[in-house]
Amino acid sequence: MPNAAPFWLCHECGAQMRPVTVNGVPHCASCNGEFIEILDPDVNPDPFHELPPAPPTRPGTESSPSSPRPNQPFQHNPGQGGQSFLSSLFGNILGAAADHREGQGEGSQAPSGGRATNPSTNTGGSGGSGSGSGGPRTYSFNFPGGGRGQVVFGFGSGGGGGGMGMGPFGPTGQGTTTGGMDFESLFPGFGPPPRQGPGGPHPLGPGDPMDGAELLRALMAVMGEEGQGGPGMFFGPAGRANLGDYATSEQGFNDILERLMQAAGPQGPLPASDIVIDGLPRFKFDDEKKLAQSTYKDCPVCKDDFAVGDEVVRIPCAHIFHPDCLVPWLKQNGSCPVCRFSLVPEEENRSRRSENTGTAQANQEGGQSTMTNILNRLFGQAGGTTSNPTSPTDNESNPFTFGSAGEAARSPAPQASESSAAQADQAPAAGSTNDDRAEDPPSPTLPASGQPAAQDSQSPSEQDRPSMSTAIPEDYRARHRERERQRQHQEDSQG
Amino acid sequence: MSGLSTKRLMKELADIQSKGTPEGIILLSADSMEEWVFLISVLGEETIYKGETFALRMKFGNRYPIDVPEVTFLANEQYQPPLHPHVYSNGHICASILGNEWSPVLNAVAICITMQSMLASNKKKERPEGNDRYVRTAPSNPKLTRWHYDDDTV
Repeated sequence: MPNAAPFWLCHECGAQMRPVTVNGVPHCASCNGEFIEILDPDVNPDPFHELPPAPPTRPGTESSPSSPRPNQPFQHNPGQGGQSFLSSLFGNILGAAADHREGQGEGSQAPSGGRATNPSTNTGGSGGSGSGSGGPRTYSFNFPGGGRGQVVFGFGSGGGGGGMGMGPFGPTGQGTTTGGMDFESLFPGFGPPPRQGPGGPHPLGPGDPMDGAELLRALMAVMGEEGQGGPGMFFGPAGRANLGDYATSEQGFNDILERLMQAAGPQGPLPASDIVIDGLPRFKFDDEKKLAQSTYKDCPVCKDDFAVGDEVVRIPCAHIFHPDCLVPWLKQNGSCPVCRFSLVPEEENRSRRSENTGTAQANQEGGQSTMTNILNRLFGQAGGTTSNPTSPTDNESNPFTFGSAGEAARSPAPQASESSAAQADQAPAAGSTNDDRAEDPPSPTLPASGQPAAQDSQSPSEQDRPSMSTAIPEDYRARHRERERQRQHQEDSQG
Repeated sequence: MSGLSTKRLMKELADIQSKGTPEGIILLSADSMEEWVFLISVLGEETIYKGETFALRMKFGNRYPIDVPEVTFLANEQYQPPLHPHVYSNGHICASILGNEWSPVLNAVAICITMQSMLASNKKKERPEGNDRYVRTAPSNPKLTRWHYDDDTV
């Protein structure tokens, strides 16, 4: 084994391979992903197996025993080359939890109190009288920038006595831990990365709001942007993050997980943009005659019969609703409740779908990575405009039009969700790179027209149509402006 | 929003009371506009669930019907969730209409019908793969689980 080049494991496609190096960055030879891991036991002992509890000690701490509260969050030295963002992050999170525990009257916090509080003696999950069976777990990974990081998770899942070592910065195991946070409860389902082969089980780790590998990937995505310089830079030059970046309670953590889930999940339908929502034509049932002429007699959402005087809003598929019934739905799912006619630009859906195949090209062209794309999705930026390698096919895309031709052309749109789901089926283990239908939270940072505009490159006619927003019919935009004005007016008169 | 939710549920309830529920589906309790329980049995001689009755609980949030209700089979002394490849032993259900295929056009009875037909088309009594692992770590609210739908045959 030592004489041959070691195999690497790709966390994106699950392949074991020898990587190809592109611009000095190792890529998966199979899927070209960058989240790969060397399997050489000399370099990186198999992370899927329990290791003896010997995480790396914090550089420099041995020589600074005067540190008053070594496990205090924020205490660590920022930007230490070998430390990964994750170990810092979890160290801080759990450090905060440890601080919390300290307030529970467990006696003095003196280093001599028998508890191993000095990071230099941190031995992962083996601290205290922990009966936890889990040792630390090591993951290492490459970053788009060429750096490489390592993170050690120590588990002490054995009941109340479990240690909770979290690598270099974590609080050490405390046999008396009772009210603190248990890592497994923070990350239900956190465990070894799924090792399911192709055609694996049907739920994509259904128990895991986000399983280990995926969580890492998502967090690394965050790092991919913030830490362009490589690992360990997430907290910026000062090595500090906002307090809001820390989760100090389980609820807080659940919130974060939920946000990540929503952002990276495959089941997030895309909301319709404000322009489209505002721009949908509305009319009023002025009299009985109009009411009688209507094909649809009741609102499909509230099931109330339409009455004279009701205002209704119409989707291009001709289904009508009370505005108050339809708008909240469109803000979370831009499709007709009745027939699933999609109000989300096909281009937007498609560009997400193409991220998979586009990653390789993007990596070579602009150095943009899947991680960055995930990140962009997480934070609602118009994802990967430079890396979106779809220009050759853009001309085929359906621009966002509502004309009769556009409607005909868009008829496949309602099937978008099905086809996307089907696609996800083909790679059950591929994780978040496959999550092409991630939901952008309707973030206020998104200008109403921004997203479609940034995604679109050309309309078929290539006239002066630089952005998709211009493909939205003028009457839609006019109605949107009018409604904006009304809202503003209302606010003014109320304030 | 909560106005819409209550109004809509009242309407559904009135509908059930006046027109009844489809065969094999019984509204067991609708004490509040927050939680209803239906009894579901599969009709016909062919079914592998002959003679069994399951309790399907729906919890409606105040954004119903915009938001999908939380739907699980009850798992208690009295009722057990059906043995089905999409139903976990804690009662959680992997069904697309309870996730990204939800539409506010659907209603409580429609969910029951879907569940009934999901059971009716099943030929093999088995738990989903990974049931134990899921049940061990599952959030109490199945809506927090990220489902992956890949099988529309049952």
